[in-house]
Amino acid sequence: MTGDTHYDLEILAELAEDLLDVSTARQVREHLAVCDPCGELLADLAAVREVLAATPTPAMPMGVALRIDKALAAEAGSRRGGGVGLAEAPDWDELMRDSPWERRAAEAPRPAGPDPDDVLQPVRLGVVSDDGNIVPARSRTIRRRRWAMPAVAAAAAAVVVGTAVASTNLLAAGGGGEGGAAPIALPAQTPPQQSQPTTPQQPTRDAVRAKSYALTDSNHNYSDPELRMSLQSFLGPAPIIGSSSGADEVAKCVTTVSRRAKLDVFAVDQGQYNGQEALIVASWKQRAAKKVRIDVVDPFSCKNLRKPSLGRW
Amino acid sequence: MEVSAALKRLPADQRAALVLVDMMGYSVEDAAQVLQVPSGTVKSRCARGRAKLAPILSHLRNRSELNRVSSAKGAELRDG
Repeated sequence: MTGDTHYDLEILAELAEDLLDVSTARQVREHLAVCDPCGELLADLAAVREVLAATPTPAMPMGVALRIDKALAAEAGSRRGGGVGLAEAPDWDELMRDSPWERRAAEAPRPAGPDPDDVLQPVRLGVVSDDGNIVPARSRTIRRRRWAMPAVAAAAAAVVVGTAVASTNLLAAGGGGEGGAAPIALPAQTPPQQSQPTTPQQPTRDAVRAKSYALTDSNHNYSDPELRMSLQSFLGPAPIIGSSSGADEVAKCVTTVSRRAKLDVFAVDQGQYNGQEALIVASWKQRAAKKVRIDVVDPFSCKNLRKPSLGRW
Repeated sequence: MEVSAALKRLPADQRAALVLVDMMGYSVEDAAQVLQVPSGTVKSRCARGRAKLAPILSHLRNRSELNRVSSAKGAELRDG
């Protein structure tokens, strides 16, 4: 591209990131000095950053920074060769239990409410798909892979709310309605765009039973460090899959996992783990403390691809 | 189109980079560690992701305070 041509957004974005070599960068800058349309594009790019920065991360729990720090710190220590494949990973439960943020979470006062740890039966929780803006943006046909993913993240808000309601139902037998939902669920900063129908219409018990977890299809290739951080940050934006598609196959694995874990699965994402197709299954370990157990399982055999780990929502 | 809807259109790798760097404010280096890719890769994912988002989100730019900020930034970048 020469100085006489306009530059496309990608070049301009690379300029902004300092990715262009010196002479190209100079060329582009010289062009920008005299080309208003390209200057506009550049401003659009800068605006993207601002818009993103001004957008609250969907339902981000407080522990994110800690979690990431943890992931970063663990990075240095846990560089065991390659780690691709099914070799038993280090003892994740052990690892997580001793982690600083894990301790902190344990000490933190928990909001009132039933401790999900006490709920042993694999209950179907939460209803998600009704919330407005998380609804599938692109409908992807999932025929190929036959499971759906639990919307680990984005669904967060709705899921958590749904969960709260479900727990109420379970433990308080039939308190279908007290509005406990919103307060427990969301970190203060519910993104404005997401807040609309996030508050679920109280799911009936049947509804709760019917759809217990959110399914998403991020198709993201997860690594261990990522799974140590908030899943929400990755899955929040992932499209939620309608319960119709491949739900049976997923349900099979979800049931397997929840039996194995004796916990409530609330979100499942369809993606990859170290390049291998996988279901990322999140279940509440301690919902009030936003602690989750993360199972990474083969979508077909439902076998764990790595040792289940503790994470945070 | 709202931001979250726009983000859904990005490939997961670009989305993850943008969420970490632009939304959550982590440094490129930290994001690189978390994502287990080189810093340059994070930068280029961010760049490509922003390039895709720009046309989609350009209408948001005209919102009051965002407009001011972005223009200032744009001018700064433009002047090198």
